[in-house]
Amino acid sequence: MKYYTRVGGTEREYEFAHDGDALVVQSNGTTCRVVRTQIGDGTVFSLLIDDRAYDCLVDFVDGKAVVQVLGERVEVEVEDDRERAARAVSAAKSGGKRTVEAAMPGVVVSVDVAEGDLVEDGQTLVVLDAMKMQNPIGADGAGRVERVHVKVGETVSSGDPLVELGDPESGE
Amino acid sequence: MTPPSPPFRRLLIANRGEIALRVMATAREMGIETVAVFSEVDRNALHARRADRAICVGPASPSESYLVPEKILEAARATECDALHPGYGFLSENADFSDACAAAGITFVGPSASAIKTMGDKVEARRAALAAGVPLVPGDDRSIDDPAELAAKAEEIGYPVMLKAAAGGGGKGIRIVNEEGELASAYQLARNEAEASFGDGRVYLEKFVTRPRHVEIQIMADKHGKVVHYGERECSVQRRHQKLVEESPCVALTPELRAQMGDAACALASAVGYVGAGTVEFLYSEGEFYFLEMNTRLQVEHPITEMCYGVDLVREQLRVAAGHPASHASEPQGHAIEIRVNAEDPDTFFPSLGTITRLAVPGGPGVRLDASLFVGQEITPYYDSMLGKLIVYAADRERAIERARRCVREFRIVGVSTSLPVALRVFESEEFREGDYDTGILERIDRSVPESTLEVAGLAAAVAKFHRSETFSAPASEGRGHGVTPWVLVDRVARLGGRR
Repeated sequence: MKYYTRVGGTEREYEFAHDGDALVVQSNGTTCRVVRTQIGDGTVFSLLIDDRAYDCLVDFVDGKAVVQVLGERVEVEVEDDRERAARAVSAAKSGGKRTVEAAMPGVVVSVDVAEGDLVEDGQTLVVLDAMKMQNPIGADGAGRVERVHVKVGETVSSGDPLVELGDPESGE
Repeated sequence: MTPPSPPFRRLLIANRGEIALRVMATAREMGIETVAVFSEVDRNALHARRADRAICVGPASPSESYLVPEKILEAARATECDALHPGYGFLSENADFSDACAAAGITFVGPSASAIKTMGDKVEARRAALAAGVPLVPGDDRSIDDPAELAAKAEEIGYPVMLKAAAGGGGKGIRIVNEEGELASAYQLARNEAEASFGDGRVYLEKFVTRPRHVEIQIMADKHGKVVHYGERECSVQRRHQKLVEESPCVALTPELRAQMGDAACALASAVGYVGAGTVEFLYSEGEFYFLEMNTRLQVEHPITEMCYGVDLVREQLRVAAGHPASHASEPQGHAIEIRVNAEDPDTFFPSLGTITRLAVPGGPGVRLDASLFVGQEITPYYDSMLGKLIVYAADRERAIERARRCVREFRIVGVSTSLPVALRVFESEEFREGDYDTGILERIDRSVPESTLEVAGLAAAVAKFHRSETFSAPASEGRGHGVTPWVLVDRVARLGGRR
């Protein structure tokens, strides 16, 4: 079983094998030895990665791992082979359809796309104003805008749907 | 030896969060009974639990509880307090409230209403500073309405200039004007913003100081006309006028400059008949300093001064409020850094709400934590996002920075996001380490997480997921049998790596 992570645009894959107490981890052409100890209720791990000690906290929230390590808080998308295959199937079924949601509560100050538009990965769809800051909300990948849920001036809560994107190949 | 009798019998602390605890700590050490006030959502907050008495003063919204002078005063009267400490924020700089306390026979631990009023109005404050011989940013302390006069004055001061609201604060009503062509529209915007924010549309002109540092002087004034200062705090690491990291001393100051700024701050305090703790804020740029404003209260960042001077400023506040003479300020030693811990997203700076589910705080030599944190604490949207302050102290600046880095890395708060990673970026930046920075530093430094950390985070996530899959597929009946003590059970589950 392989595992995959995605952090800040970089994808990595991992394969684990047992070696006594340790795990031998193959990752993108490199090998390391990891000794893990779980502390308390299960979210805190002490990892010895090639003898370097890391005190990590890993919380699984909405399918993502929120990792606190070295004073940082890092969100990691993580999945195994099975999940990856399931996701591919469901993506194929839905024709690449997905909903871009509001990451924070705010007021829509501009809608930069219209239904039918082709957008690129990261292209600004909507700008949200929250706490006097302008926050561009970008596409999570290339696609065709299938539906725009919001209008300028509208107040949205965190998690509200903003824009629905579909497969870029599927024309109107 | 009998301990000195406390200056007050019972103190009402008209605040919440870390500052309420900070004041409470000293009051208790001085043998003063403490009374906390709390809003309905703050019943479980530490200040309400730790005080000798606690009085509910109304609903969550500050305007219905902590900010209502009558309710706070009524709590003080009902509990027969002889003094009231306002902390910072809320009613601390409300002149009428200071008056109302005096009228009720309760000592307000802070300056008189007239001193608060003078310093609370920027135009009046500038006038007072000018009269006291304190250097001002070149500008005009009058609010100007005539466009021609405004343009002439801006020309005289020299561009870039700033338009500021007379009743302003928190960065509202401020406009920077680079050339004459922008003046008229900027003036209108500043007026509108000032009117909307403060109900007072008066604005004034000031030179825009380039690459300014924010350096402030801590003063303490007693009722006998004595004013002492406790050196400076450098507060240039800020975002939209919200300070994030403060340090003392300021690396840019020479002993001569420090003495000059200290004297200027004391002169201003004397001129307005100031009593209590106060902070005179200056802009510092290229060997020159200019009066910015005076904060008539204890500042959030007061602990770094306490570390370097070995002084308890709250104790000094309480002593001078009771009529004792201000203590002599000793020579400062070492270097102190404060990191504000805000419940906010480190990338977007959005407030982060939630419940704290896990907490690991740093310790060891030279570490002080002024915070109101506890596991189970709910971070509500009603109050300031600052959860507390981490303060480190060391023999010199370099060691203080390393200590600060260590502590930020050891600090773990789960349940809400915090600004701590941003502080890490500051300490790792060349600009901060070299000390040659200004108020623009936060916008300039690289805020991205180091690649090596991202790599570790990715591996940790994968290992945790792998670990989970192993654990879930393990036989579930193990360790559930009778006759096993909880300790053995815990041990077995732990060895299995089981999740609770």
